Amino acid sequence: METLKDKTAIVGVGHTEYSRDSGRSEMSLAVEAIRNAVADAGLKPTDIDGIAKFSMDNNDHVFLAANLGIQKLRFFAEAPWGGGGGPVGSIMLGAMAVATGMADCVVAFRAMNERSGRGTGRFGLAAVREGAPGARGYLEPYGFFSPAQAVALSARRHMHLYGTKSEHFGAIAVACRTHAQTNPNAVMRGRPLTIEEHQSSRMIADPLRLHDCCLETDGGAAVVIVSAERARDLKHKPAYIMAGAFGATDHNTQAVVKFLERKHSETSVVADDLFPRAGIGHKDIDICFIYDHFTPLVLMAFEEFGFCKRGEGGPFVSDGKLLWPNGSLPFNTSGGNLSEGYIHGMENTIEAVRQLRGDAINQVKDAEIAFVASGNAVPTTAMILHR
Amino acid sequence: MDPKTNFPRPIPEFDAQEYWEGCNRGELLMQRCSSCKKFRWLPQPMCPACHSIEGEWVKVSGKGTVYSYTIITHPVHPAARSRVPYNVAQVQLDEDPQLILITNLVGIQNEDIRIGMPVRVVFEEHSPGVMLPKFERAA
Repeated sequence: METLKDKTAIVGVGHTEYSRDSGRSEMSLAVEAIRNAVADAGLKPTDIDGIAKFSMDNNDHVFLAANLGIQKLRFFAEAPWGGGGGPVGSIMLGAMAVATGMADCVVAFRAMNERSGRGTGRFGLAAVREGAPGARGYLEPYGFFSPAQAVALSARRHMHLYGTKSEHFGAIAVACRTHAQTNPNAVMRGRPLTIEEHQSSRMIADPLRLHDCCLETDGGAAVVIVSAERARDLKHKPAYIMAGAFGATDHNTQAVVKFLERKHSETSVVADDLFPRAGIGHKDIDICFIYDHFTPLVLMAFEEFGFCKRGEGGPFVSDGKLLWPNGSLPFNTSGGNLSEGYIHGMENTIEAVRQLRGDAINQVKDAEIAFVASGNAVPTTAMILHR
Repeated sequence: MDPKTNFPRPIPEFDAQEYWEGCNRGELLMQRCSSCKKFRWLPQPMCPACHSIEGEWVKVSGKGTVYSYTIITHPVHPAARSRVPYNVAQVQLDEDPQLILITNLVGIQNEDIRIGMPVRVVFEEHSPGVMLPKFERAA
């Protein structure tokens, strides 16, 4: 079967400042991030002929195109399911469009004022309304609203089944925060975190503590995708897209709640396709980026992607392997959603490309193959890049 | 109902009218396929096992066990401010392990909740005309 392997590449990355209050419109963030990504590739905004966005992004394809001066927009698409389908999903839509000739140069982006609420509303706050429609009607009447609360249920179940401890979750938070300390664009630069501070941070939804939850951030981030052939003539070393995969399962009807004993999860569905498509194994991965919305879901993602066995995520993440520079599997080396900025995983994608180019701040020596995953516990996506 | 002081009430879906009507009568009903008799949750028009669109709502025992739980301390809704800390639990019904409901446990201290604890359904008024299934510790 024909696959996407090495037919496309990410050739440009760009972002805005990440902040708690951008003080400007979401459109302004989007076009600046896109302009920067295109310039990074050595291209012009008018070279873009395709836009792939997160479904939840408020910026509309045609308004973006008009702002960027694009006269011929030949491809537009959107990836659903927030941080699950969104970051890698939008990039894969772009890659598929380029590989099939629907477009020559696609930009995938995320831009929002999620922290200040200008235009978006704060993600971590529940809508105040008299009635909860549809499946929300089985949740909200009980005071059950937020992703953090849903993840708490799965985290508690994981602890019960496998003896996982809060300190295991904390190891993930500490790794991200440690990596953010050298990143000038990280919201949490200058605020290092110890495991003791993680353990004494306030409870949000037991067993989730404050530092188990990602940031809320205002900002924009974008990447540019072109064919592998064209990529070789551009400014930087291309980050080739080896493989990508999408996945969902029946329990995804239940709002970010996982059912750990079931055979399939959205994440395992992705893993079943991704590695065979790439033609490599887990041991070939030099660096990994896993969407860090909540630390327990990162731990579970390592298990469900097959980096370790189910139930062994706690010890797996806690032995130092995730820490740059000495760990064997450096993870979220720019700080991730937890400590760089919560641009719904697009910031992790940008860092993956920088690592493969060799110009990351916390550069992993000779990084050749990067694993990049979107959010666990919702319909999700992942890809493997190489230099 | 003041949406700032109470959590949202359920707006019954077309395929789940019977569920909420049952709650208002004090009966916990679950949807079952009329053809292959397999239970399903959430409510949906087709049986995912045999693809029949003939479903029935049957009264279940209301007995189950705690599958997981959380104690919520950070209020994300104005009505939560006066309620924190409060629990939200998943209860797995005895009839079928696939039936796992989100609910509150009542009549129990939060620190006494344990996974695997046997529970049974009780109905509590959410607002006039809306009864919610919740669960209490079974002896």
